Amino acid sequence: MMPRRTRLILAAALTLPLAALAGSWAVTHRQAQQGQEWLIPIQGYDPRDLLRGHYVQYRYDWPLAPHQGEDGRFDPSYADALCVTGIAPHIQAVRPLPRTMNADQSCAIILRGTIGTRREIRGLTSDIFYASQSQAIVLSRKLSDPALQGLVRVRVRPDGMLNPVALEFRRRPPPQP
Amino acid sequence: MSERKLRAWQAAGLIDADTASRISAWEAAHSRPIGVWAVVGLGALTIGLGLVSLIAANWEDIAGTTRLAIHMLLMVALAAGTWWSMSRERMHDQVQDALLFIGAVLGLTFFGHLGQVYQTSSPLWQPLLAWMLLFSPLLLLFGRGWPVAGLWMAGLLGLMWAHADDHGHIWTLFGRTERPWLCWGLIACPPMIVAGAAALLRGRSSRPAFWRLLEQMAVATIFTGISLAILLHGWDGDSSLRPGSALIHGLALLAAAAAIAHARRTASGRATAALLLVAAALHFTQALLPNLHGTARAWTGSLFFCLLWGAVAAAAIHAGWRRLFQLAVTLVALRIIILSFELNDDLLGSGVGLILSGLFAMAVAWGTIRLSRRYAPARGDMA
Repeated sequence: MMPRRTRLILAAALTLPLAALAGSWAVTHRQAQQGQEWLIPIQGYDPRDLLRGHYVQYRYDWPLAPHQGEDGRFDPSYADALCVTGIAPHIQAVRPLPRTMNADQSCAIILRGTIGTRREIRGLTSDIFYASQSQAIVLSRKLSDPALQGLVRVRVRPDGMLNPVALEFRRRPPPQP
Repeated sequence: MSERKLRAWQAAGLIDADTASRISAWEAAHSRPIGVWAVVGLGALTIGLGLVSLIAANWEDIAGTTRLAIHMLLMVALAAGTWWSMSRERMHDQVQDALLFIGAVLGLTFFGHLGQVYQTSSPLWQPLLAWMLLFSPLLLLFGRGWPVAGLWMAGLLGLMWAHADDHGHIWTLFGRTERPWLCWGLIACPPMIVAGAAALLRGRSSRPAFWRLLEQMAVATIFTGISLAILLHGWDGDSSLRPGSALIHGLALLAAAAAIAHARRTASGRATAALLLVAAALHFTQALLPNLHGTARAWTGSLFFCLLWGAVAAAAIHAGWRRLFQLAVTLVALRIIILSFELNDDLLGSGVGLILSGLFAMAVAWGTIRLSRRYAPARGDMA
């Protein structure tokens, strides 16, 4: 039989990771339930097969506010935050928000890019969606279909960070003659 | 133990009849029913594989939270089983190590599983750091053999690598091409810290073999890293190390050498400490060298490499490490052969250079075998 002190240390060493992982799960679960849902148009596909599982990589196809599109200089990859106009979950347009400006009455919600995350996730430019192998193939096929517009349903946390919930598809309107 | 062998030894006069019968009696008393255990093990494995297949086949249809709950329950059951059997000390060391290994791997995959279910992502070093913090107490306090020592060391190296990779990327993202020397200096220090700490703990712990393994793994990592740094410096001037970073590495190596020399006052301890000092001196001196080109770079690169592994060979003779001596001599010989090809670069096309390099390579190989046979320490001596 192990000495009592060693048994206590063993119990603590076994409980520590279990408690921490369970806590991490609880926090992640709670965060996933919070926030407002929005639909963001996306493009591109890039199914990957890594150790961490299958996922689809996509780029956001932000609908620009009219005066932003004209000069053609707006690139969301350089924006720290985006001001969204529209009614949830439908985005009407986005415009970059200067760093100094935090609250803007005209914004329905403010989106912020995640800093210090995986390489595939670049701020407000691109993100990934985990899917099973078969699902990933179907999703990437749909994303490459020019007749379909891909949309990612995200949950926006109170701090403005995006969490993808699902990928959806809508038939694009036929091109005007 | 086979009866046939005992009879053969008895017939050869190696053991008498009394000893033979006592060996037979002892073996009979301590024999394990291997056949029965093998069948039980096979049955358990089949049931386990069946369960895994059942879950895997329906994996996509199982709700994310249910999958996470199954994962968590597996970990809880394993932890309970580990506690129950380990606290009664009824387990073989290897079985205990296997349980700790499986538990730690289940813990690591839980991070990935959580990310998949909730669509969250983080840089690889973050879950690795969390895993190291959560599982190090269990692995370091109760690990016994190479599976646990190897897993822990792999986790540490993976964490260092992932963090360095991510850090490098973040710096380029902000347009900074100059590498932060403090970061690159500190990021390579964990193996030195592990080597020193493991040597200090080796004498005080009830599991000296485990700490010895960790010390050996850390020292092997250090020598692999420094050899790679020397090789890259010799072949690619852009990968040159900043003196500030090399100074931090050097100081960490000095600290590790001091700890090992203090903790292990044997020929092996002295030799390891001396080698770490040589590594520190070579590493720092190389960082101070100006950026060389062409033949000068080839010569200095191979000189530093041969000095490092020459020192390892000398230390191996002192400490009686036969395998390491042979490895060091082979590496020096290979580096010399590569140097001869590097220097004959312009002649390679003419054929004469190829013939000369080939002859030189054969001469070096012959010399290496002679040297290894003459000076290699006798078999059976270990660090």
